[in-house]
Amino acid sequence: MGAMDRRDFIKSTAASLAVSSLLVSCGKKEKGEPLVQKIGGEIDALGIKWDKSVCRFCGVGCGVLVGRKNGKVVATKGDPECWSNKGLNCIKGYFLSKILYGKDRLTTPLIRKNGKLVSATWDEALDLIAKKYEEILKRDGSDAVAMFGTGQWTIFEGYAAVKFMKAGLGFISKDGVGSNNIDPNARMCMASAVAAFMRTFQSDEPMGTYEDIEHADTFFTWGANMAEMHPVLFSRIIDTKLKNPDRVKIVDLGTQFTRVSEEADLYLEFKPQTDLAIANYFANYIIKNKLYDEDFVKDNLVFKKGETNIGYGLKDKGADIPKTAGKMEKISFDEYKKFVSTYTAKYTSKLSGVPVEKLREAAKLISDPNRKVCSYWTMGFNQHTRGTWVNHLVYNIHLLTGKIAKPGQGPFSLTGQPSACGTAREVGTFVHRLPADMVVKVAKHREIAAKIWKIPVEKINPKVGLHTIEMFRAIDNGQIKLLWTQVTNPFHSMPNLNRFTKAAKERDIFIIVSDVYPTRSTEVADVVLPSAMWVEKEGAYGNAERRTQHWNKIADSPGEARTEIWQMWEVAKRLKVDANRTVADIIYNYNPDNYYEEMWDEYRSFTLGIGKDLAPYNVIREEHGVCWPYVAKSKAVNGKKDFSDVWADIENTEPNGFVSVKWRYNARYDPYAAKFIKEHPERSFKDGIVFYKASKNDYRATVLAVPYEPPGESPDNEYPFWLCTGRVLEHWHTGTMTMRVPELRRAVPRAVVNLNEDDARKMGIKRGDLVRISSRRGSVVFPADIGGRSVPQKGLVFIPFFDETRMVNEITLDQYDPISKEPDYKKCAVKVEKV
Amino acid sequence: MVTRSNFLKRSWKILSGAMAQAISNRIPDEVKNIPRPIFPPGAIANYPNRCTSCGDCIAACPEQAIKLVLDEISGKKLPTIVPSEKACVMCEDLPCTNACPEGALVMPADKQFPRIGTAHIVEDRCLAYNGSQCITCFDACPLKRSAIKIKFNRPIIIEDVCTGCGICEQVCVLEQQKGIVIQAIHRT
Repeated sequence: MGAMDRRDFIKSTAASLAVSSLLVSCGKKEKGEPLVQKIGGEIDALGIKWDKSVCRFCGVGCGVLVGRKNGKVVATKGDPECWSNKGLNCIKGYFLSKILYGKDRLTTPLIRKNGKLVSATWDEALDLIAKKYEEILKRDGSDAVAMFGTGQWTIFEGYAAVKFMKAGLGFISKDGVGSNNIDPNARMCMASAVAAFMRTFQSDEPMGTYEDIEHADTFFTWGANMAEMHPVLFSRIIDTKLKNPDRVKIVDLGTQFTRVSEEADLYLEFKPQTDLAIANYFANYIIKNKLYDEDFVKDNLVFKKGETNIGYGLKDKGADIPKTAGKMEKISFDEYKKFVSTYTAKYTSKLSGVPVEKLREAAKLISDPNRKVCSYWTMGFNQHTRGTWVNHLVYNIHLLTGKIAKPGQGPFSLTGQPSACGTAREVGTFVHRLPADMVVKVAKHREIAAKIWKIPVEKINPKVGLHTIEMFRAIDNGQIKLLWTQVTNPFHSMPNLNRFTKAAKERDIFIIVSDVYPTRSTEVADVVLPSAMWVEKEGAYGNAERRTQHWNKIADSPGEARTEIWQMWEVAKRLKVDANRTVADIIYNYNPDNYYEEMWDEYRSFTLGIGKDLAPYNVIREEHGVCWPYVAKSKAVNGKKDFSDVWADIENTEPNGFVSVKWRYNARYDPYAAKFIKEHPERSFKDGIVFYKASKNDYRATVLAVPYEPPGESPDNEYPFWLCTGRVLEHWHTGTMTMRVPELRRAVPRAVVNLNEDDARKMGIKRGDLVRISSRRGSVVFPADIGGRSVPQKGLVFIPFFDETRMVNEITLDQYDPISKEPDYKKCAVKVEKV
Repeated sequence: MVTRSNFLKRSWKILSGAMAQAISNRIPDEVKNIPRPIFPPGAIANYPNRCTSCGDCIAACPEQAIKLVLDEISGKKLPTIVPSEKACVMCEDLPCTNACPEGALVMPADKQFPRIGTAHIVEDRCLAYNGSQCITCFDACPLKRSAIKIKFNRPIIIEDVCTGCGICEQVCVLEQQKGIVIQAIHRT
C-alpha cells in the first residue's frame, strides 16, 4: 500500500479522533481553502483552549497542541496536523505542560552581593550589565566579551542575539568591530554535522525529511539510540517495520546494546571510534562488488582526500592542531578506490571487533540496489574527535550508491535540540557564521549582512571568534572578561567541568545567566535574569527536517520574568553610541508592537533566492510547520527567482503558489534543482538529482577519503574502561526542565552507571551498589545498574549527564574534533571501583 | 501481535495530559475485574482466615512495603502489599514469610521467592500502547529483560517469569490511573 497523502491522513485521523466526544477541532485544513489556524484556538467541552506550538525538548520538533484554562497551561497533546509527528508524543511531550510550573521558577533578577545572589530590580540589573559591557568593551575591545547561547533559542531570539554581538557591540567597543565570540551549545551537539554538510554539499541541513521513514525499507542507525533520544521517529520506524515485517530491516551499529538494538534485525557492536573503519569498509564493499551507481558517480560526485593526523584539541588555543586540518585535495575515483581497498572485512573486523559475517551482512543490505536505505545518526557521530570525517564517510556510502535525496533514501543527520537547525544553524549563531550559511571571513557575506542590518560593513568583525571549548578556556586564561549565557547550562554540560567551574569562580569574569530555574550555571553567575520560557512568548523553532514551526504567546510568564529579546533590547538601550543614538536604535529599530513580524521579514530576506527560502510570516503563523526551501512559483508571488517554467513538473505544490520542499536537490520536488537542470542542458544528471549549491565543486558532492584514526584518549592499565555519556528517554539535557516534572523525576530520579554484566561480576558489583568512576580529571560516585535499558559492551561504562547532583562532566575530557570544534563526550578513559 | 492497522490508530487516539486523565476517569472493565489485593510472599490459599493480623510480617519487612488494609471479601484488615505505593523488593531471605507465626505465610519448598502476582498492562492507559515512547516499567523491573520485554515499542509481560513484585506499578508515570497493575494470583 502506498503512502497516505495528507488529506487521507487527516481524514483517518479525524475519524479515529471522532471516537471521543471530548475532541477538539483545531482549524482543520483542506487543500484549496485558505490556510487559517484560528489564532487563539478553540475552546473544547472541558473549557480548554487549544493552540498550536512545538515541543520544548528534542530536535524531532513534534508539533503539540497546548491547552490553556484560566490563564494556565493545563495540557498538551500531539498535533495531528503537524507532519513531523502526526499527533504522536513521547513521554516527555506527554508531561510537557508541567515544565512551566516548577516550584522554584526564577521570578526576579538576582545580583551577587558579598558572594550571595540577592533580589534586585530590573533597572539595577540592566544598568549593571550595561556598565560592565561599556567598561570592558572600551578597555579590552570586543574580544573580551562572549555570549554562550543555544539551539533552544527561538529563531527570533537567536537572530536578536547575533545582531547584538556581531552588529551592535561594534558601536561601543574600542576596536570598532562587533564580537564574533557568540557560540551556541549546538557546538557540542551538531557542529560536526554542519561541517560535513558544508564540505560535502556546500549547504547545511539534510536533503530529505522524516517522511523518508514511511518510504524506506532499510534503516541504519549509527550510534544513535533513537528509541530514547528521538522516540517519535522511532515509533514511525517501528510502524514502517510492522507494515512489512519481512521486508523491512533495521541495522543498529553501536557501542552498547540499546532499545534500538533490541528491535533491530542486525546489531553490530563495535569498539569505540572504529565506526570510521566500518564506514570505509562499506564503501570498499560497494566498490569491490561494483554496486556503485556509475552514472551518478560520473554526473554528481567529486573525490577528495582529507588531511590526516589532525590532533585532538587537547591543548589550549588548538596548539596541537595543524593549520591544514580541514584541507581537502582532489583525487581520482581510482585513487579513492585504492584508498578504501585497505578496509577489508578482515582488517575492519580485527579493528572493530565485529565478526566478518555481520560486517558482510550489513554491507550487503546498505548497498543492495533494490533496497531503499536511510541512515540516521546524532551524537555518536557528532561528538567524536573525528566527527566531521565520520559524517563524510556515511555520505560517501549514500553518494556512491546514489541512495540520496530520494523518497525513502538518504543519509539523515538528526539533531538534539528543538531549534539547532532553525536557530543555531540557519540564523548562524556561531563564532564563524552569519545568517543563511554565510561566514564572517568572506567579505561579500559581510557586505550582504551589513546591508540588511543597515550598518557600515566595517562594524562586522572578519575574525572568527572563540568556539565553545576555547571560549571557556579563555575564561580560565583571562581573555574573556564578560560572559552572557542564555537558555543553556554550560557549568553542568561542559566537558572537563572542574576546570571551567573553577575558572568561573576564581577569574576576573562577569557572568550573566538568563534562565528559568536555578542551575549549576546560576551558581557561578554575577547576575541572574529570570526568563520567560516556551509558550510564555511568541516564538518559532526549526527542526531537523528543515521544518519551521511558529507559536503565539499562550501563557503569561511568572513574576517579573521577561523574554531574552527584551533583556538584550534593554541592555542595548543603555549602550549609548553618541548623543542621539543607542545600540538599540541601530540594531533593534523595530516597532515595539510588531517586532516579531518585522524581525522575521528582515531575517527572511537573507534566505530568499538562494535555496534556503523561509516561508513568509503569515504562513508560519498559520501552518502547522513548513519545510524550507519554501519556494515561490514566480517572482510576483514573493521571491527573487522565477520558477514558472518548471513549476508544472514539481510535486506537492500548494495552490497559494508555494512549495514546501520535501526532497532537496531532486528535480521532482525541488524547483531549484529543476531550474538548474533546465539551465544546464550540457550536463546530465542521473535521476534528476543535482547538488546545485556546490558551486565550488562544479555542482558535485564530495566523496572524502579519510582513514581510521584512534581517539584522543584510550583506556590503559591505570584507566582501563571507556566512558560514554548521553541521555535517557525521561530526561532532557541537564534536566533543568524534566527534573521539575514530578512524574519524570520519579521515573528516573538519578543518574546511574550502566555496566556490562561480565565486568560487574568480575568486580563484585551488584545492581544498586555505589561505584566510583574516576578519570585523570576527577571522580564521581554513581549507583550501578546492570542489564538495564542500556547494556554497554565489555570494557565500557555509560552514564547519563542530566543529574546535577552527580555530574559526569567532571570526569569527561575536553577533546574536540579539529575541524568542527565539537567536543567528544563519548570516549575517554576511566577506572571503576566499588565504594 | 500488533497489527499495522491498530498500531498507529491507537497512536492517533492518544490524547495527552488532562485529556487522557479526564477520559480515563472511567475505570476500564479489565481493571475492575483484576483480582486484588496482593498478599505478602508465601501467602497460603486460606490466608485471609489463617492470618491473625499480628503484624509480625509488617515489622519484618525492611522496606515497609506491607501494611494493614481492609480486605473486602473477608471483611478483615490484613497485611497487604499496595504496589502503587510501595512495591515488594523481593528479599532473598524472605523475612516477612519467615516471621509469620501462624502459618499464613509459608516458606516455599525451594526457598525461592514465590510469586505474589502477575503484572498486567492496561492497554487503554499505557502510554506505550497509545503511540508514545515510555520504558519506565521495563527499565525498573528487577528481573531485567526477562519479566518485561519490549517488542515494537510496547512492554509485554512474560507471565511465567514475573513474580508480581509490583515495582512496575509503583514507577509507572501515570500517577492516578496506572498503565500497569499487579493482579493477585488465583489461589485454590
